[in-house]
Order: sequence, then C-alpha cells, then structure tokens
Amino acid sequence: MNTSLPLLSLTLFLPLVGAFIILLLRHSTSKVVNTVAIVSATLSLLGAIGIGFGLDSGFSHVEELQWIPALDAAYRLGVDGISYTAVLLSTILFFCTIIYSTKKKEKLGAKMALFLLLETACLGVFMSLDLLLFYIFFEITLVGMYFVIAGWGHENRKKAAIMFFIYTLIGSLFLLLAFLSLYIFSEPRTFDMRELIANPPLSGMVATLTFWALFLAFAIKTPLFPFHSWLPLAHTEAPASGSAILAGILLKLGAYGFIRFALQMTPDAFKEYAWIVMIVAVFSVVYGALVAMAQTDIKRMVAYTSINHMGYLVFGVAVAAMIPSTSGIHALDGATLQMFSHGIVTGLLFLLIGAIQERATTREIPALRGLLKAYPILGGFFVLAAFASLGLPGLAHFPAEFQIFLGGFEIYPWAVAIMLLGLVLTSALYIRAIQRSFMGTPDKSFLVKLKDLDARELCAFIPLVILIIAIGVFPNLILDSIHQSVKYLSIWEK
Amino acid sequence: MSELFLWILILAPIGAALFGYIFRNGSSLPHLIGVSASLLGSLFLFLNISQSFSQKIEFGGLADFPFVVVANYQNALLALVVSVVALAIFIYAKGYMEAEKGKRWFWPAMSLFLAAMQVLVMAGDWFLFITGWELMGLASFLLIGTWHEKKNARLGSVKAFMLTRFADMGLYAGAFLTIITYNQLAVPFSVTQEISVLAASCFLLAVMGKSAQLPFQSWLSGAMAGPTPVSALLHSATMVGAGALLLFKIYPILPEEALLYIGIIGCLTIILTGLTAITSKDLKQMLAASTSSQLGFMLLAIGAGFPGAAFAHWLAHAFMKSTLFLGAGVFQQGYESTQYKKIAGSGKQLKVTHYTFIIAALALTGIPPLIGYWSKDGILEASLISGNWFFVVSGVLGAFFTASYVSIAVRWLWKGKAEKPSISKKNLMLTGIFILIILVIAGGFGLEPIVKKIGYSIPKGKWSMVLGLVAALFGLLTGWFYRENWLPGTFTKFSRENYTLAGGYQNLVVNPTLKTANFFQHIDAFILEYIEKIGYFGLNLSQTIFKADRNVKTAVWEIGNSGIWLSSFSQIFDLKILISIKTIASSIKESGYYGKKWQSGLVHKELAITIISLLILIFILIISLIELL
Repeated sequence: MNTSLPLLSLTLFLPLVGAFIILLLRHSTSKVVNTVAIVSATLSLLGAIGIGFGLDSGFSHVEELQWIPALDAAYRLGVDGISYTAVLLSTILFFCTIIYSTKKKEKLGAKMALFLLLETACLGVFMSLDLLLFYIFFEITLVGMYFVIAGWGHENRKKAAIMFFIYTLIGSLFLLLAFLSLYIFSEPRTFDMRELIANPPLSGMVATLTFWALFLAFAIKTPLFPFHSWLPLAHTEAPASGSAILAGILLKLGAYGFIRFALQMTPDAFKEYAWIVMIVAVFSVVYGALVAMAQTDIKRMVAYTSINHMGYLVFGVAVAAMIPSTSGIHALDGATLQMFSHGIVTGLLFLLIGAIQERATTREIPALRGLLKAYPILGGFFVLAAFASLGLPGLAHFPAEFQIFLGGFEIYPWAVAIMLLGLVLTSALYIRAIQRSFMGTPDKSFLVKLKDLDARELCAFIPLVILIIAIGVFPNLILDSIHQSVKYLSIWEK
Repeated sequence: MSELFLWILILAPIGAALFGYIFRNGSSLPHLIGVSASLLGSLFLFLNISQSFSQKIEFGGLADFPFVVVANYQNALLALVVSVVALAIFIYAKGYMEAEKGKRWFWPAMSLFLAAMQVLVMAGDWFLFITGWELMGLASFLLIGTWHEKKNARLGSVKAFMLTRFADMGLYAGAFLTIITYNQLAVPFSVTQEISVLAASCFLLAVMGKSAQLPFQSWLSGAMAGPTPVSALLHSATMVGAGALLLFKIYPILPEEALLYIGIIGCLTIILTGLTAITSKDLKQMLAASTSSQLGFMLLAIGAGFPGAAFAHWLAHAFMKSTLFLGAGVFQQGYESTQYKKIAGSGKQLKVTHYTFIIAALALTGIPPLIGYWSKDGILEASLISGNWFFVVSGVLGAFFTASYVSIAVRWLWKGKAEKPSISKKNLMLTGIFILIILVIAGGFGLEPIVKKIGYSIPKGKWSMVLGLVAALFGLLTGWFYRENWLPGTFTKFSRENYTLAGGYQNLVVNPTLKTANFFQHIDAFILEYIEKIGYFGLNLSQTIFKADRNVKTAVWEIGNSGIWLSSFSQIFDLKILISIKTIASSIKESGYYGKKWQSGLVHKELAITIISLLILIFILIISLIELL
C-alpha cells in the first residue's frame, strides 16, 4: 500500500502539532488540553496501525526530501519490521501514558506538550533513515526527558535529572563520533542509513573503534552493567508517567541502536567482539535480578529488573551477530519482540506503581501490605504484569525470551543456563514482593484513598493488559512482521 | 467436529476464569458451567476419536514454528479424566467453600488451573506444553494462597511456586535441546533419534519438581495450607500428575541410561516419602507425602520400561487420591483441623465419608478388585521383569508402606470419641465424592482395555500379585497396630519434617541468595558513588579550569596593563631622549660658540675636540639612560 499519503510524516508530526496547539491554548481549561493531547496521540496511534498494513521485508513507506545535499544528509524516513515494532510500541505507550496523565495537576499543559514533543522525538528516532536526522531526534528525547524528570519528579529530581542528562549525553557523544566515522569512511560520503546498511563502509581498526563507540553509546542508553547507574536514580525521582516512557521507550532507543547500527553497520566488528558483549549481557541479567531483589522501594525494584531484561535482549542481538543461521534469526526475532514486550509490561508496571503511590503514602515493600485485598483490580493488574515480567508463559515476555534462549542455546548453552537462573531470580523477587505487599491483610493506616482504579486509570491500563495477554498467546501478531524483516537482513548473507 | 470439541474443552474454563475475575461476585456457577463444558467437550472428543486417529491442529505460533494441539486417543482420554475429576472436585468445592472466605479469589483460579491442565494435556509442541505447565504453577500459587491473610498460606504458595519454578528450568533446557536435535517445535512422536542423557536429565529435573519427587517433595507439604479442594485437584490428576505426563510424552525418545536414573529417583521417593506419610501426625500431610510416594511408583514403572503400568497408575491415582482428599476435607470442615488428634473417632460421626475414605484407602493399598490393585500389580510386575533388585525391593516396600499409612489414618478416624459436627452443604460435598468413588470401585475393570487401546501394555504375573497382596495385608496390620515409639524419635521428627537438612531451603538457598543480593546492592551503591565521584571530579576539574582561566585572564589583563605601562614608559623614555637630544643640541650650539675660539685650522686639534665632544655625548647618553632606568 504505497499511497502518496506521507503516512510516516503524518504519524511523526501529529503529536508535535498537538503540542503546539496546547501551547497556543495554554490558558484554556484542562479539559481542552486533555482532549487535544488524547486526540493527537490517538491519531498517531491510528497512523502507526495504518503503517502496519503496508510493510514488506525491506524499508517501507520511504520518504525522502533534500536537506543538506552537500553532505548527502536528507530527511529520510522509513520503517521495516524491526523499527515498526518500536514505532507501534511508542504510539501505544504514549497513548496510555497520556490518558494516565490527564488527571488535573499543576502545569498540565506544559506536561502534555512535553509528552507530545517526546512522542515525536521517539517516533523520529525509530523512523529515521538518516544518521543526522536520527541524531537530532535522539538528542531531543534526551532534552524532553530531562524536563519531565526535573519538572514533575519527586524530591531529589534535580540531581536525578542532571545525572540522567549528563550520563546519557556522554553516550551520545560517542554516538556522534561513531556516526562521523561511518560518514567519513562511506564511499561516496552519505548519511543515508540504507546505504550504510547495504554496504557497511568500515573495516579494520576503524570498524573496531566505531563498534565500541556505538557499544558505549547504546550500553549507556539500554543500559547494561556497569553503565546503568543513572537508571535507578532517574526512576526513583521521575513521575510515574515519565518512568513508563523512560523504561518503556527510551531504553528501547539503545536496544534499537544495537540492532540497527552495531549489528547492521559494523557487523564484522560485532561478530569479533560478540563474546564480550555476551559476557556483559549475561552479567547484566544476573546483576540486575540480584540488585532488584535487594531493593525495598518497589519502583527501584522494577527499575533494576529492566537491566535484567535488557540483558536478555542484548544477548539475543549478540547471538545474531555471532551466528548467521537459523539460531541467529531466532535470537534476533526474540530480541526485537522483547523490545515490545518489555515496553508494554514495564510501562504498565510503572503506571501501576504510580497508581499505588497515589493511594498509599509509601513505595516501600515492607510497609505496604494487603494491596490485593484493598484494591483487587489494581492488585490483580500488578500481579499479572509482574508475572509477565518474570517470564510466565502465556504472557508477553515469554515468547521473546523463549526465542532468545533457543537461539543462544546452540552455541552457548552455559550462558543460557546462567540466564535461566536469572529467570528464577526474577521470579523470586516478584513473588517475594507480591507475597509481602499484595497478599495478607491491608493495613489501612497508610492508605490515603480507598477507591480502586477509576475510569481514567482503567482506560490507560486495560489496553496494556490486553496486549500483554495477546502477545503471550498470539506472538505471531507482532512476530510475523518482525520475522519478515529479520529473515532478509543483509547480515545473514555473509 | 472434533476440532470444535477440542477448543471447547480448553476455552470453556478460560472463559469461566475471565468471567469470574471480571465480575468478581464469587459465584461458583460460571465455573461449574465451564468445567461441565470442558467435560462434555472432552467426552465427545473421546467418543469421536478412534484408536489410530490423530488430528493435529496448527495455529499462530512463533516464526516458522506453529503451535500444535494434538487430538488423539491418549490426549482425549487424559482430558476426560482430568475434567471428570475436576467436575467432582468443583461440585464438592461449592459445598466446601460455602462458609469459607476467599471465593472471589478461589473460583477463577480453579478454572484457570483446569484450563492450564487441559492446555498441557492437548499440547503438541514445547511452547504450549511449557505454557500449560507454568500457568499451572501460577494457578497453584494463587490457589494455595487463597487464604493469604494466613502466613503459612503465603509461605506455602511461595514455596510451591519457587521450587517448581526452579525445577522448570530443567524443562526449558530439555525442550531447547530437543528442539535443536529435531529442528522442530513439535513434541516428537516418531522414534527417529534418542535425545541425549543430558536432555533427559534436564527433563527429569522438571519432573522431580512438578511431581514432588526427592529432594523437592517439601513444597507439597506446604501446599496443604490451601483449601482442601485445591489439594485434591493439585495432587491427584493435575499438577503433580503433569510431571509423569511429561515422561509419557517423551518416553519414546528417552535413552536407556536415563530410564535408570528415573527409576532410582522414583524408588528413593517411594521409600522416603512413604516413611514421611507413616510418621505424619496430620491427615492432609499424610496424603501429601503419599502423593509423592505414589508418583514415585510411576517413575519406577517408567524406569523399568513399562510406561503402560505407570499410565494405569496415573489414571487410578487420579481417582483414588482425589477421593481421599475430598474425604479429608469433610473431616476438616467438621472439626476445623486435619490433625489426627483432633479428628480422632470422627469416622463414627461421618460414616458415609468414612466408608468412602476406607474404600479409596483400600484401593490405594492395592486390594482387588478396586482400581489401585490393577495398576500397582502392573508396576510390581514391571519391576520384577526389569530384574533390578532395587526396583523390586522399593516397589514391595512401597506397597507395604502405603498399606501402613492408610491403615494408620483409618484407625485414627475410627478409634476414639468425637462430637457430632455440623457441616453445611454436606450433600454437595458427598456428591463430588460419590462420582469419584464409583470410578474407584468399578474403574479397575476398564483400566486394562483402555490402556491397551492407547498402545501400552500392563504386565501381569503371579509373583507380583502374591508379593503385592502379602505386602498390602501385612502393611494394613502393621499400620493398625503401629505406635510412634516403633521408630526412633529423631528419625520420626526428621522424616515428618520432610528430611530437612541443615535448615532446609531457607538456610541453604533463600538466605544465601538474599545475602548475595545485598552484596550486589552494595556493589551497585559503590558504582553509583564512583560515578558520582567521576562527576564531582569533572566538576572540580572544571572549577580548577575556571580558576586557571581566571588566572589566565588576569595574566592577560596584566600583560595588557604592562603593555600600556610599557607604552607610557616608552613615552617617558621618548621624552627624556628628546630632552637629552635637545640638551645635546644646545650644548653643541654652545660648544660651537666656544669652539669658534678653537677653530685653529689645525686638523689634529679639531679631531681631538670632535672625539672629546663625541665621548662627552656618549657619556651624557649613558648617564641619561642610567638615570631613566
């Protein structure tokens, strides 16, 4: 369905238009602001769904406009199965988060505008087919997130925001270096990602250095051990909706980068050093799970499990870099699906924790008690999302992790065995939290609000709950388009 | 048509679970409808399917790996047995839960559990199999935790989930190895290639966890904190049975060596958990230990190479053990406890329940013509045929223990005096028990034909019959007269507490894990600190640079100043020079004036005067310079 309608640009800029309208109408009531925000997020979501109908194995819906011809940098957009997964995830999660944020609060207009700006930036990152364009969107996400944390966070928000900003900015400096290296060594010089994927320009020492620069940039963003310190701090201080976006989408920027750049543009260097990446990934799996287990703040706990899940994901990408065969395809299928699964599951978990925090005065696991009795629906959703996160079959994470493990098992059964232990640890920490905070008799003294989820929250949570189950039972819904692209990647040809 | 029945039998309980969760009214009706639909679906499927017929239905799935459900005779039979047992338990549970709390939690979890089991039974590929297997883990976690305001229910549910979850990793690893070996997701049916011993061992780990074999048997004991219908459902045909079911599925591809390991695990479990059942002080705890022990018999039969005998025992055990548990639940409702001491003599008050309990107990012991006789006889014969003396001894000893522990329980229920209890909805509970007891009494006659129809055989022999009956009768007598002081006290305690070594899982696994977690938490804090140090270092550095920058600025300022100073200095210098030159010029004028006198025309005189005046000039210049400096 290659219509003349620039579907990608429409989907990409609709939220931005919404943001401008909100800024223009900033003196109007919150109702107007909410309506504009929800409408533009919904339209963007519909656009993303529409994009799904025109996918084939390569880049589809390509749009190209001249920008800086002298540098061969252009406004190039396009999606394949891998980036489409991330695009769909972004629109869904922003839709739910914006609904969740409609509660009347201070600076509502600014918050909504910022979220919509962030949505455009995130979509831009995933849709870009041009290094320069990618880099610009990549930086905008950073700035947007900085303001979300600094503007709407908890007590220690300034420090967390600055830490987040500086830490990830260092990562994006490495990214810039890597991009310049890719540009300079391409023949003829171009920022066109399609060219750079089709003919990876680098070899030898430059390729190695570029690969490690990319690795650093994305390892900070993803994050992997030991580059993760910004993450728990940012999550502890960020508002629930910010955390959902941060964990649900911004971490995927790193994951997507590993696939799109490290794997596709420096495949040989990645192959050579895949074993190091694997060690880091496997260690991150165990490390994330263990540190999460030691947390008493439920939000920090979930934040650390992200490190664990991203470890599985990066391991899958490393497997794909190492063995260009069916195992590699399985692993990369799984890793791409993991982006989506982690996005919806962790996004939901953070939003739910926000809902818990509004009702209870604390996020401390030892202090919370009997949440299932006090809030059956809220508690039930949390238990479901927690079980999804610990990899229960029938829910979203399992098909992804199953394929990653299956792909990796052929070459490194021991690595997979260690990661299976990571799975047990994740189970233990979630079960422990459920047992302590959700089961038992509720302690009414710390509960501020005694009502279960209201309509706004239900509207935000139910789509994610349904998706978590749907992906678990019918992974082919998403997996088919992923596999369609993964199967024909140029990296398998060597 | 059979496709439709297949979907009904799986989807009906799922629908019931969803309905129950969404509407949250704790009503049992949707769940009874769900289980009935599942029963009808499996019944029609069973009737619709002939012996050789097998229908594979593929749908969705992973890329290149579709999901497969298989409707064949064996699966349909298993689904039928599961739903019959489930229906009986559901009817019973309606009565049991009437006066209890937690109905809204209990019923959806029951339906979910049933659905998970049916998925497991019908699964034709590893993905769905694992899905059913693990969902059952979730449902059991929820069910055991029905009364989660009690601490032991919470701990029991966590223990059950975590122990089985750990063992499940064996299933994952085994499945991965098998998928890689056969390059297909489907569970292999035709024997083309055996899996490695490693893969078989991985599967065995999963079986040991799910079927509560040594050393994982203790979760079953903790699981007794749940409502009794849960115990009946989990520990008869479903949860624990799933482990044995896995072995039936992979039996054709198991290597010889693995069979031996399976048999040994089975034997050890038969003996040790049999002793736990004997030393137990609680009716439900006894039944829990007995479940492990009976599952051990199935492993023994598979190890001896006779899956048919194991399969027969699986069917028989499903009916017998659920009857026993349901009976125990009636006593529990009457006396608020299942401890032998508290329910002593209650059999006289609850006669119908007690008779059904005795019948099921005798069946478990292996008294003909009850259903348990046929399967236990088959297992003993299988062990004899295998020629492995360890198998034979364990089998006979196990039969003896079985008879002993049921005899102890019956004696407790019969002897002593108890008050008349009041139980509401007893009729519903008895209805459930009656459905099952009919199968326990009459099912034995149909057991062999059905097992044969699937393609298995149950071995038979005179010796096994004699051995089995002698062991059973001797065991019944021993149990009746058993006193606790027959066994050393320390052993009794050790055995009753599930052979907890060195503090058990809490000390050996949980605490070290938490310690490691805390250790890593410290590392993490250290890293954060370190990163912050780097940050502050950067800050300090920039401050230093700022200072340096300021200094440089000052320096440049100073240089500028000094330039101005220098220029003013040179201005002064210029002035002085000007003055000195003027002075020189005027002095020259003067000297010219005087010099007139000296104009002598004498060259040497003039030269001398010039030199002297030059010297004076130089002198003046030097002096003026010195003065300036």
